[in-house]
Amino acid sequence: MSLPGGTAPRLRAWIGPAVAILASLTLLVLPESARRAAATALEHSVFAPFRLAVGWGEGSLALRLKLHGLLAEETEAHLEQDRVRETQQENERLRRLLGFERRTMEELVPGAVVIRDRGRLGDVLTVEVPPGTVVPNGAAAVVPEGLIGWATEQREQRVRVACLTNRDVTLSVLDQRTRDEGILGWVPPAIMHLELHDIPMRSEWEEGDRVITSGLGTVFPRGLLVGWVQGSEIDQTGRGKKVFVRPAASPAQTEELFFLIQRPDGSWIAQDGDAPAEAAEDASDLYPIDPAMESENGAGTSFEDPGVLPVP
Amino acid sequence: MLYVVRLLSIVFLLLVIQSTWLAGIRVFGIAPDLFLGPVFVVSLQRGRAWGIWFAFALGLLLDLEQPTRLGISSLAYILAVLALDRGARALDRTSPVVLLVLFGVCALLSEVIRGLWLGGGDAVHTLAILGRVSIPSALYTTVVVPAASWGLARLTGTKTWVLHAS
Repeated sequence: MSLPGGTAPRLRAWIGPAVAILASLTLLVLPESARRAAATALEHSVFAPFRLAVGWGEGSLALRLKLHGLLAEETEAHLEQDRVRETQQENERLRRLLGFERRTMEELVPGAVVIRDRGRLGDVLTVEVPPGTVVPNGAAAVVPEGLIGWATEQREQRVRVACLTNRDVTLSVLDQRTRDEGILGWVPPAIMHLELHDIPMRSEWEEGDRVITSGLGTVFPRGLLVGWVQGSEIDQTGRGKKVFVRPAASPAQTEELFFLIQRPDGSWIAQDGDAPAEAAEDASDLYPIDPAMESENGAGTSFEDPGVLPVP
Repeated sequence: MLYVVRLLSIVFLLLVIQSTWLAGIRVFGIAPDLFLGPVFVVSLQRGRAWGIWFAFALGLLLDLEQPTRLGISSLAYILAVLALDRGARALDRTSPVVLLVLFGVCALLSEVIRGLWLGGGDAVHTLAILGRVSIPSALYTTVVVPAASWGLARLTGTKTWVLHAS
């Protein structure tokens, strides 16, 4: 059987495309495992030299690009550090000028969470601190959101932190709006939920009120944000009420935290040195304090450093 | 032989670019399909048969990254080559405007085929992919690849742009 003139060459011209399309379609309709097997076979046979060459090229280029990116990040970090230092120095200069005295005596020690444990007694974090750092037991642990717990034990660089959602932790708090006080604790098995007990019926703890540390006791400084009032209900005795508080900081989301370590009283913010009196003298030499202002302010105006604590 | 080596070198470079710098020119997650350029050039310069087999091989090579889609790039490029072949016969293939339009059609066709495959038979899903990914990708490819080709031609000092085929 013969084809009309011109038809055979035209058909022949379509053989190549038809085969290629059929091959593609066949690959598409294969089961997934067969497709994977075919891809692996192709990768290790026909395209092996090409893939190796491209992999080498990609690898070296990708590394160079990554290095370049990291260098740029490092430069940016240095610039940011310089800016922060400059701002800090300017703040300190202004504080010297005004004769301000630090009321919060805490030093911040950073730490990174390495272990999270949710035991029967509540949340416990294990935090790694810089070598040589001593974190005393009871040092408050804070995150940008607020108070997270306290240090209970240190072994070399590892510090154990009992979180607010731990039975070992109770703290004196107050309602920032009404200044009503109470003792806050965790009652298992609540999740992200703290309770104040034996609260007088007439005290006003309203939903949404900010709850802060009262500063009573020796563990937590005053003014650290603890959480928000979630609600209240009359307790079983009917004489008082229970107030529920949602903690501001979550142990599950904490990656880094700071320990607040007490510094000796009277240290001046103007100097980081160990001689506060000298620092004060130096400051008064450099920036003479107006006697009227000094007498008005007493020994110096007290303030809380907003950059240090999550001040409510 | 030299032509094949040159072609392989270009593909090699494009693969490297795709895995290193391409992420930098993504717009809303849409990236241009740089490999359509070589397929287009080969088809115009060497004819349909070369174009189809080159498209088939290049498609397979690209699909090795995602073996579950093995064959889809090949099919998309082959159909794009066939469309190009039809268009180039009927139109003036030396005109840059015609080439640009043909390239746009090829880009759209290949992206639509990929989109249809990704849609998996679900009409809504397919429409969403076509609207959100395929058409923007085709437009982006139509802008980026010819622009890169023109820039490359200026850099290398050639009289005609790289996509041009006499």
